[in-house]
Amino acid sequence: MIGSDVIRGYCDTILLSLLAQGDSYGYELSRAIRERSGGAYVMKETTLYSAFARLEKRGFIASYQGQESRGRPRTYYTITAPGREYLREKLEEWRETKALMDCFTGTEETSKEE
Amino acid sequence: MEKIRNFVENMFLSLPDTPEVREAKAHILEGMTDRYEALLAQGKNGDEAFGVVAGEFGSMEELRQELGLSLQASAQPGPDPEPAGPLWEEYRCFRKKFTTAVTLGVVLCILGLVASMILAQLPWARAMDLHHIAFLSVVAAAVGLFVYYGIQDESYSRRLRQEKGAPAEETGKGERNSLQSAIMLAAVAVYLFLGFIWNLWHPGWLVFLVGAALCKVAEYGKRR
Repeated sequence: MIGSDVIRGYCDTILLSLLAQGDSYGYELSRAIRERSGGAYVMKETTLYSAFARLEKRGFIASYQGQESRGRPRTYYTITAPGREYLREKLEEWRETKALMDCFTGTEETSKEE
Repeated sequence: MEKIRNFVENMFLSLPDTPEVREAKAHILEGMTDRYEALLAQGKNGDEAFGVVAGEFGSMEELRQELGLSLQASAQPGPDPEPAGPLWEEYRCFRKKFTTAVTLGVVLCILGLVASMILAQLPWARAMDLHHIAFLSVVAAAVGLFVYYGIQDESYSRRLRQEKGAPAEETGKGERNSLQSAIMLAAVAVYLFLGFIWNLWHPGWLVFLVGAALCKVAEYGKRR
């Protein structure tokens, strides 16, 4: 069970990486997260919406009205060019984080002893 | 479906009714309904599905933080945007009246002075002290305006602060402030009276010390 403050830092990366593979909308993304993680992570509705609002405000995603559902157009999200750039940075940051933590959690692939 | 709508409405009760909040509400409701329908399609019954959906709602605190931040970020550089709400609308109408009243009060004071100067030139008016009477009547009207609208303004500020969720002890301070304003305005009126009618500018100024003392008394009195 990952702490909420830890996972919060990765929400943006998760959503952006999904949107990088194609436009989608709220429920679809939430479902993708649940299925891809094998049920290990279910993103709450408020977390999801907060992330959308945040990412859109920073210009990393854009929203548009897609096909109708239940009488009102659904809001679709698409990743923007700055969004892809930001995703690239976050993925790099994750690789560095993982490499760093591997040094301390005994899962290094190569020995770093002199 | 109604259950989900009611659930979301309840969660959002304490938030102000702004476009951002309404959009958040609509989005979240849509996502939850999608999830609910998908669960029904999987064969879950209504109550089970609702339970799952409610559990996946999340925390309003997170949303409030995000929306609170976004309200500030989207504000024009300059004064804070005023939140919407029935009380704010009422206050806005009041503000116009308040501005008019204060302006009128100041203009009255000046006109009163002008009237008194004119009347002072007329011997028959001077004999009846009309110039003093005219001036003080007009000033009285102006002070009345200031006190009346001033107290109402205090009352609005207090209520609006309450709406924003300020601690309850603020309300005591609001009443105290309007009482203090009234006391000091009365002191000004008495001072002017003493000065113009009896030329008691000195020791008339003592009235202000008395007023300040009364204010302190009022403060301790309320605190009891």
